Amino acid sequence: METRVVGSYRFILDFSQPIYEQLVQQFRQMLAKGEIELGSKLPSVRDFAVQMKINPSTVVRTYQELERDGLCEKRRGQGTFITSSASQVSELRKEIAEGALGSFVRTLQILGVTREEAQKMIAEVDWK
Amino acid sequence: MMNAAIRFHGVGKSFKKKSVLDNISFTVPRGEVYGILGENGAGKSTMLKMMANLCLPDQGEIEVLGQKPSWELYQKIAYLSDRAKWYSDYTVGEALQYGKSFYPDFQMERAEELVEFFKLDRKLLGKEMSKGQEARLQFLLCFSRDVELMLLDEPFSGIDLITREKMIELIIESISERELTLVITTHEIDEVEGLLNRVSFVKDTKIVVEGEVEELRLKSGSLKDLYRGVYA
Repeated sequence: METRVVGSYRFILDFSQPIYEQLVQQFRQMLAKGEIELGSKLPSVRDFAVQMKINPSTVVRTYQELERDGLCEKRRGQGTFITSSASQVSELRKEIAEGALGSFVRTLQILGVTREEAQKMIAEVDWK
Repeated sequence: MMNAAIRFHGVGKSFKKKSVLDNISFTVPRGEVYGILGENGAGKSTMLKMMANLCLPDQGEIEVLGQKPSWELYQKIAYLSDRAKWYSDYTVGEALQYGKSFYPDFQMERAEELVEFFKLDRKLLGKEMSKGQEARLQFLLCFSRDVELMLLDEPFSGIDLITREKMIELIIESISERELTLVITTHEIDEVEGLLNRVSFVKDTKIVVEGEVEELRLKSGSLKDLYRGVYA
């Protein structure tokens, strides 16, 4: 694992997994957590690649993936921008939370924990 | 196939009856950074020399930029090898002039920028350079050329960290700005882990693993893991 910084973004790279998937994943997390300002400009492909020490094609692929999910948009001659749609981001936040909830439920089911027991556990957990 | 910068088909080579390459086939797509990895003496440099027309195969066929390797083609390729030290008696400034007179595609303006980028002293004499300074000059001369294909033979071997980082930065900048195919031989994985699009591992005269790096990560982990798996 290696930490690499690009402007205000901090990424953790694990070279045993596809790089573009990690970048997409970490961008999604940062967005959902509200760490990226809506409508802000992403670094140019060149700057991103140079600072991350990765192939520019990996950056292009990352931006394309985010664009496909409606999380950023390319403006001709201006660069790539994070979506300015707050509903898009709350949608993403919900999606990530539901994913986490799904795996939480599956784990408890495997352990034989009932819905009632689980609800009690959540109610009692230290939510800080 | 016009999308291939380089194609090897069934290439074999022997020196003094000892086989160094056996039935090598692979394709380097245009615009990609291709790594040929392997230990010293695995035949990596021989593969690069063949692409540059400095060595002919005994068997098989090679295509570079859609043509058979030739002297005309060689002039359209930037080939970097540690052995070519023609600049010993020149200063950095003179080496640039020499580069300009030698290569029609040499971009003097770019070269001047790169002297700054690499923090080289124009008056520094070739034979008085440290290994790092030499590497900087060689890279500068190579990347000042307006070519479609660059062949870099062990560019990072024995070079200090700061110079290596500058080299990587220059490579990434260059491929961000124009379509350029790069073939790099190396046994130092750290430098190229994030850089390569495709890779082949050469061992005992053969290619033992070949493929797209992101796909290989999914199947077998990092290039370093793969390297250990192949050579340990």
